[in-house]
Amino acid sequence: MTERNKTRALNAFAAMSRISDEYVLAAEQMLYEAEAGIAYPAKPEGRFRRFLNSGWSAAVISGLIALAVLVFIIRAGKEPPTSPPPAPPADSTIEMSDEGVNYSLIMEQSNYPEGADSITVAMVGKDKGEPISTPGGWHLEKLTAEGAEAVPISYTEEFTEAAPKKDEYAFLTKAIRIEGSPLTAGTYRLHATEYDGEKYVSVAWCEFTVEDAETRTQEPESGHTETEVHPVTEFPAAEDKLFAINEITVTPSPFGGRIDVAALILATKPNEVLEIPDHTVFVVKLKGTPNPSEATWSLSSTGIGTRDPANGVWVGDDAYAAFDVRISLHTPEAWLPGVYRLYILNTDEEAIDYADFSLGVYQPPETAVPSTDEYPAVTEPAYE
Amino acid sequence: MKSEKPLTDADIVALYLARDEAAIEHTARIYGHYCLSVAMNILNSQPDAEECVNDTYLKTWNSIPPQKPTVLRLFLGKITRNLAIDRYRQRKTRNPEFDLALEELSEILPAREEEDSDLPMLLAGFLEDLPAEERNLFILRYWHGHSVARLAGAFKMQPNNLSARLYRTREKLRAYLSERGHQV
Repeated sequence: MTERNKTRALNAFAAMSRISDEYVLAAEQMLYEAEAGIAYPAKPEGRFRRFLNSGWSAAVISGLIALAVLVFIIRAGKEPPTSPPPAPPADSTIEMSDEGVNYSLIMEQSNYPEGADSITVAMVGKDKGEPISTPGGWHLEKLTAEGAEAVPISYTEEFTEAAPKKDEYAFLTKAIRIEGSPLTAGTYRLHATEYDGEKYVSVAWCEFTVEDAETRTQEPESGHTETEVHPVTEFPAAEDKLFAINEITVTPSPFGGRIDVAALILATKPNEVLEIPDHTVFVVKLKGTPNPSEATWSLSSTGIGTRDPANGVWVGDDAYAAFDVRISLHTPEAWLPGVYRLYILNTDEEAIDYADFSLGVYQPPETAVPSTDEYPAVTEPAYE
Repeated sequence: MKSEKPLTDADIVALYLARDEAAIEHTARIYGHYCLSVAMNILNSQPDAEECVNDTYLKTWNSIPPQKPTVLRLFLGKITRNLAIDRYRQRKTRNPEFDLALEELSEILPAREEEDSDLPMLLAGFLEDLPAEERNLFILRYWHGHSVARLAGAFKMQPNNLSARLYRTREKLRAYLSERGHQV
């Protein structure tokens, strides 16, 4: 950095003095709470990296693959959903409205473990740049062979404001607490509701499953976002594991053909130069399918920290070099809900690393609000 | 035994307004450590930071009245911060950690120097749109000048992960500035 730029950066730093006192106080409060141990309890970050560096990794991975084969056999025929959820049957405990809403519901997780006492649902706007209206209430029911039964829940009234930018969809989440007994295995349907002057009616809905402990498989090490182990490993593991995917976040575009993946890629050893070679290939597959998805990708990657402008790599000082990689993935059609795996391959098509991410189960606009003609409601709604 | 009731900000400001020198004593006792940490983040030198804090008391004495701050801690923090920045400009000894923060900030400076004056207003607007946690981290790094190591330790994150988050926020800021016609 030149002296001139240093002076300008100092001016920019000084200019921060003019930001709102409220923001500075909030930041100080957050740091105070974190350092006092009031918030931010230790997270298991770093375990994955330690695991990778340990001699146990090969043995454990072999074990996991064996377990995965077993799970695959058990779960045969139960592929991730590749189509929108089915329309709700008439046995719902709540009446359906034919009023349209400007959002769709997505469960944060498509399945929960038995005993879960809270769930999180996301609301995604249907139109870019448009804020979404928040529902008047929520209604949860468990689907059974005999019909459906209401599950008591509670939730707060406050919503975070969702004011999207003009090219983004509004997105907000809502945590819902299960009152009484925790969830048992089965299929559940969550409705967003509105009061029609007499009773609450369903204006949008989505489903999720609760799996019992035997069906549900092990949680992965941190760094991989998958919730189950899968045997599909079309690409052999590379011998020279230069780096690993440490963190992956996905911005889903439920109604479009694009998702944005941000991955933090770390060197596997400290104090080493890290490069993402030009010939590195990123492949995304819907798990359980034989062929890679038809997505095309564009990549931008940038080193983090002090960079050498000549080659764009960064070396940590007693630290792990890191790259922040962003990948935009495009498909001709909308991304389907399900669990996807992002592979990073070398020139020999060997997997240097992979990480899984899921796109929630969502309702496309045309099925989000079923008409009452098509799905006649029961006469006695159990929820008001 | 009679215990002394701690003074509130309003009490201390009232002492300043009454030109009672006990105001400085109370300020030093309650906020001295805070001011020192603000200065240390920038200067990384105990003698320089202490001198800076003493200058803060003098400047506060000269500023109240006419000013009448409601949150005294921030009022003092801002004075200390500005004095520390001024001192850092004149000093030859560098603070590598603070220089790193400056280097990060230099990535989002407008390409044209004459646009620098727009930056304070744009920064304020940008921070308004950020989610609270992201905004807080940005402020802790670029208002307070806290090191990545300290913040990562506090928030139980890997330093690299924290750097990545800050990097993403800077990229958002870059995009924000570009949208408003500033080449970065």
